[in-house]
Amino acid sequence: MNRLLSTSILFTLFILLSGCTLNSNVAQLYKQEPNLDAEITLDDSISTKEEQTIEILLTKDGNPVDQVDNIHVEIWKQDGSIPTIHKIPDNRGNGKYQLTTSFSSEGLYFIKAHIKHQDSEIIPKQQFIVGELSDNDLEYLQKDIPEQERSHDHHH
Amino acid sequence: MLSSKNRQQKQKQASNYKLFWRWHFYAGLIISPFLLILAITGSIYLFKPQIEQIIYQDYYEVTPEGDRIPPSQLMEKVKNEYPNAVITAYRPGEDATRSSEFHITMDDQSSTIFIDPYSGKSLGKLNNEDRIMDKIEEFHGELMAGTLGDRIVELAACWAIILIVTGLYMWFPRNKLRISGVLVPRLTSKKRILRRDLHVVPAFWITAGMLFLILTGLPWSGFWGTNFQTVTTNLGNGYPPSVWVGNAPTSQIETKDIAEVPWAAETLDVPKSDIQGRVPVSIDDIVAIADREGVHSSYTLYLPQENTGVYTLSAFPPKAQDEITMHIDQYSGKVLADYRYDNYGSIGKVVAWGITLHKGTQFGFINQLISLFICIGIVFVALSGLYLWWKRKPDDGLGAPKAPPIYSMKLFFILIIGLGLTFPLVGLSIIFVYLIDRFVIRKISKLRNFFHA
Repeated sequence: MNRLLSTSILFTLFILLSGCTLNSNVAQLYKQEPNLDAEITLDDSISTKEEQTIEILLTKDGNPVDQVDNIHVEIWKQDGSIPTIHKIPDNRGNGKYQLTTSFSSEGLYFIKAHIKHQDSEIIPKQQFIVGELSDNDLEYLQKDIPEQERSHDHHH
Repeated sequence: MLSSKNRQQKQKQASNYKLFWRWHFYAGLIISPFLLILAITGSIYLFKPQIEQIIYQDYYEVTPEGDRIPPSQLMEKVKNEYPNAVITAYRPGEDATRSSEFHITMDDQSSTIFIDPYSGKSLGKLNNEDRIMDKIEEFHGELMAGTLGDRIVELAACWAIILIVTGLYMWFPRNKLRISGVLVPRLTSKKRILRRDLHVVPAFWITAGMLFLILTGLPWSGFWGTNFQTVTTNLGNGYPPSVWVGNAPTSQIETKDIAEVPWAAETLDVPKSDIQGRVPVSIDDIVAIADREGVHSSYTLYLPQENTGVYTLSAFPPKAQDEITMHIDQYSGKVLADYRYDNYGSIGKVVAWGITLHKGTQFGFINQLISLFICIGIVFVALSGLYLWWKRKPDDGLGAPKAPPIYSMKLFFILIIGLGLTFPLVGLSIIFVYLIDRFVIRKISKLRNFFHA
């Protein structure tokens, strides 16, 4: 009897202490989503003087995607001072989609691509700077920093 | 020869009966207060939808007028009104007359801001701590005592299974099948018999319902439930990860590609290359994705709180089949995971149904009524059991039946060991009781007499 009891005590403790953890790749046992990615490339520094070529590299599971159901690019300025630009980029093959545009005023811009391929839709979004930022842009970028943490350097 | 064999069998039966009785007796005495609490809080919580609809009517109801204001603008309003708050979630509202909600944390407190999506007017703020139904839920799930309370509730639920098993054994008619005293109480008999029947007969009738509530409640318990969910998820049969156990996926965007927030005070000091890069898509885009993907309208949208976080859409509406958990990359709007009821493993589906049935939402009002009936039954049986004991107990002790040691009856012993292994907390508690009995009660004669050890 005592042996039986002590065995069950040990077994119970074992179960208690070995508390289960989730396997790291457990998600693979369940429904998977298509892996569509887009990388938007712009020059590091953009000026109002020259035309800018923007390239989007579209891949699915790392392989280039040449056939899209829909691709459309939206570019707008943070302060809303120019109308939104809508463009459909050209398919250059090998997953590359290109467009050229020029910017007439300096400041903070956003680009968002709307891409639909088979069952998946993505809307990658980036921000970029043309020329220099305005004070209004800086204020916008810092608006989510809590008040007390914001730097007060400009007082001196 | 035959009669002596018969007598032996009778004796064995009687001693088995006492063994079951003793376990039922002690388990009942200790567990019944908790069963009462669970049944009473449970029957109130069942009606949460109706109760909250009444007490929070001013927060919930809006009159549709014109177009809805985009959530990003509503969020700006909330930010302006509560500048120190962190907004954690947004809930658009399941129909046209339901207000929108923003969940915030501020000064270590979680609250909900209700807002009219047509006028943008704030309808007020409710601290989660002050919500009566949250209190009841906390009482039901953890006796308002955190982890310790959770374990006690779990223990009580598991021990209730032992009560059911031992109770059924004693209920089962030993001599010949009869109806009165088994399926119908003997109302005309002596008081002693009536008291017994008023416990035994209703207990039999609610047994199935009680067992159902216990088994459907256990998967959400903190210890057994979490382990159970982990095991089934690992096996591929349970909920997909992050629905119950496991974290949401993280954004696949590399940190270096993410736009940084400039700390400089002058525009000239801003390092441009850090500022350029991926930025989160707006909450309006995510709401559009939710509509496109047909997410149940009662969803809550959890906002990413860090760079690598994701937007999570989650809806646990009344019916299990409508459940959804969806994770969306904050920088690309890419759906990283889309788990609906159909994507649950077979055990996950059963557990999901169990939960909505347990909460009384799956079949609406009739579901609530049936559950309420079971709860009232549990209250009645717990009370009639206690009354039965009170009336029978001698003045100088608990009145527990003296019984042979547990291992004298193999089947029962195996059953208890089995339960102890399936529910390790029960196993631990049995070991604890055994040790107390062996080393304390049996050593002190006063205690020995009191407990009839």
